Amino acid sequence: MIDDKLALQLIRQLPIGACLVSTDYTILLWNDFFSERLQLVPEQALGKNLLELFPEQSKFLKRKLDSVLVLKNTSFSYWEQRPHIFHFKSSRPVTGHEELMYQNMEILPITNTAGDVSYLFIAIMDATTTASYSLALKQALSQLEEEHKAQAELIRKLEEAHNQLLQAEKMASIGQLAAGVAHEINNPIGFISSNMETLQHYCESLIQAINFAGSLISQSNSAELSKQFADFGKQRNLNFLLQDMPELITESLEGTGRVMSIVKSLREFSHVDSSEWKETNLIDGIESTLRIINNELKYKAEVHKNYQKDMPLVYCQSMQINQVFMNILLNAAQAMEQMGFIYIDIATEGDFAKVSIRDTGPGIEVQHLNKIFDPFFTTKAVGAGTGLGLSLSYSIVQKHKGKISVQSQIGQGAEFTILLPLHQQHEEQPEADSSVENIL
Amino acid sequence: MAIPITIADDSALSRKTIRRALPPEWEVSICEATNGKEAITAVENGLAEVLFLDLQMPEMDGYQVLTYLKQHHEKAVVIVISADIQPEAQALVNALGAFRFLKKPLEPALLGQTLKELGLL
Amino acid sequence: MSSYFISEEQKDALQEVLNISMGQAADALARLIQTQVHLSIPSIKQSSSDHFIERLKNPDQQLAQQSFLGELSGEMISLMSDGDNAAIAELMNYDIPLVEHEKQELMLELTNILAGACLHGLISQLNFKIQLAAPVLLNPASICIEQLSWQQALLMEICFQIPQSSFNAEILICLKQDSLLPLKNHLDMLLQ
Ligand SMILES: Nc1ncnc2c1ncn2[C@@H]1O[C@H](COP(=O)(O)OP(=O)(O)OP(=O)(O)O)[C@@H](O)[C@H]1O
Ligand SMILES: [Mg+2]
Repeated sequence: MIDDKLALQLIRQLPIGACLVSTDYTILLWNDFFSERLQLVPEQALGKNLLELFPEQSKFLKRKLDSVLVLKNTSFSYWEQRPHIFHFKSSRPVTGHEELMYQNMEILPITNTAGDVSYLFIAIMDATTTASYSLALKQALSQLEEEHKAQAELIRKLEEAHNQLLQAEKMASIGQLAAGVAHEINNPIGFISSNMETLQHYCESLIQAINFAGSLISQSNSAELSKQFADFGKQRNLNFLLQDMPELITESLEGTGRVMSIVKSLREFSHVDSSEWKETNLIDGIESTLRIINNELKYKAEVHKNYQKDMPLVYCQSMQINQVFMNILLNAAQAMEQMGFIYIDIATEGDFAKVSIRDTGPGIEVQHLNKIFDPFFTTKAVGAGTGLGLSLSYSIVQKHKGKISVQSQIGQGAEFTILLPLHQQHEEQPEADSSVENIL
Repeated sequence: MAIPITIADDSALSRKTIRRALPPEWEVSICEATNGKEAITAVENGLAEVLFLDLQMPEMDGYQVLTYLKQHHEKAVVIVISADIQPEAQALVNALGAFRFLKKPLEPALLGQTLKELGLL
Repeated sequence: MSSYFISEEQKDALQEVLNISMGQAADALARLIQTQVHLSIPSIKQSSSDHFIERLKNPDQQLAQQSFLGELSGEMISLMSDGDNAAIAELMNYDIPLVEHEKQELMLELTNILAGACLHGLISQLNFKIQLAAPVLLNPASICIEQLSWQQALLMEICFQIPQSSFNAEILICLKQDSLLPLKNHLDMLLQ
């Protein structure tokens, strides 16, 4: 059996903070742990009111002590939520970077025989090692999380690039196809057209010959001959024939003319080396694009154009800029719920050429406005839209050091504005550092 | 002559505890009720000059029993024995005409003393 | 409830013991936070492990756990809604608004108080000696059924409400099947 003196010494030397207070918070016991780490000798603590001695923590301590008093139950506090109840010096002054000791606390009720709480025992445990370990772990974890995020972002960018590549490839092959078809059609339509023109001349001479024959017959005064000629003419519907034939030929010539101009547009549009930079007339670009998609537009919108006279040429990849125009024009037509208008404005604005394409369709919902340039964002039915049109356009304009922006009010339509620098740095042309560039 | 008393509590353990706590020298005939309705029937049939009444019971709770007894001017001496010991419950019970309020778990000594105070012993 | 688990008589006794405990707990809590509190009548249930896990996986609530060890051992779990705890914080003498670690502290404090209050009556009436371990926050995602070593447990459910502040919490006192024997023995002693 140990005697009281020994027990007291034991408590004094306990490797945890031990403090006993009465129910009115008066300090009755203050062991070495407390006095050494707080530099507060027992004489300075004993008999004092705990709450008054530590005013900063008094509210917290009172709450804890009172709950133990009323509920007669141990109360706990952790370093995680409340690291430094008492300003104990760190237990690792040399190796650690902690200034203050992290602490866990328990307050235990000491009851008398009647079951009432007569004292409260405050035990403080040093949790610095656990805390620094756990904090380091937490830091490592958040670092890991950050890296993970960065990785995900990288993957997203990669995906974006990949999609643009795909789209570029698609466009390139469409361009090649178009060029091939155009080339094949070009020759036959060429001789059809020139033959037609010859035919037109022949036809004129033929009509003149028939007319001349008719007048000779009527001058011969031979009733028999006149009647035979008239009968023949009636039988073959000669009058109508003579009238219709030139019209047929004119119409056919018009038709071949249209075919030829479409072929020309196709060839322009799908200029085989599509990434070629050259001084470009944006108005020609818009016009040839409009011709290509005429079919998609004509039942959807009436196109109004307003081009600034003597627009300067813009140094750009014309085929790709045409593609931007096409994407925007097609979107406008596809958005149109009923016949509407598309307004195209081309003008200079400061150091930029500005192309704005405005439609009178339903407009774009506010919450979609900042997403439409994202790859795969589409409001169209599955299969109807890839959601790549605008994202590709965005990256093309970006590459030209230009800007593309959108403004829209629901119910009133949308307006896309493209700004291209008028004085493009020509040195930037061999910017073939990215693989996307190479394919385009 | 034995006094008719009724112990109304839905818990068998509780009824047993009250029975055990009754002073052995007190001559009584005991009726047990397991809900408020049975308690009222016991009172109306003269089986409860003293009624030990729990508050939380099915069918009719202790408060309803007290209200009923008050409305019908029944003279039973009601001693509430309750697990709900918050001051609000005590105040309400007193207002409803209970003679005493005893806390669960029941202390036999306190019951004896209460019966003496009420002149029943 | 199957008699193999706990008999009807034992259940009645346990119910009464719990009712009395909650009465005492409510009284103590009301004195501590100086407001009227309401504790529901505890409901005693037998629960399978998958049911139990289901119970805990409500995304809107925060969980804390506290073990008790000794002659009777088990765990107490408190479930509190994630939302408005400003009212209870004020009652508990915290400065509001709470920062995150204070929210955690409040949660742990409440758990400790509720556990202490609710278990105190049970333990003292049944004459058990137990020790409460420190409460810890519980992440329901970290509990998986494969890790549980039991199939059936006894759950005692209590709702804790402060009528004035819209605050409410649920408390589950959980005993594994093998901890039931001491409980049944002590209940039988009470019933004799
Ligand atoms: N002029 C416009 N009016 C209304 N909404 C538009 C307009 N232009 C674009 N949008 C919206 O922006 C979305 C994205 O357009 P984007 O061109 O990137 O893809 P898409 O047209 O859906 O698909 P794809 O270009 O492959 O056909 C469209 O789905 C549409 O919701
Ligand atoms: Mg599109």
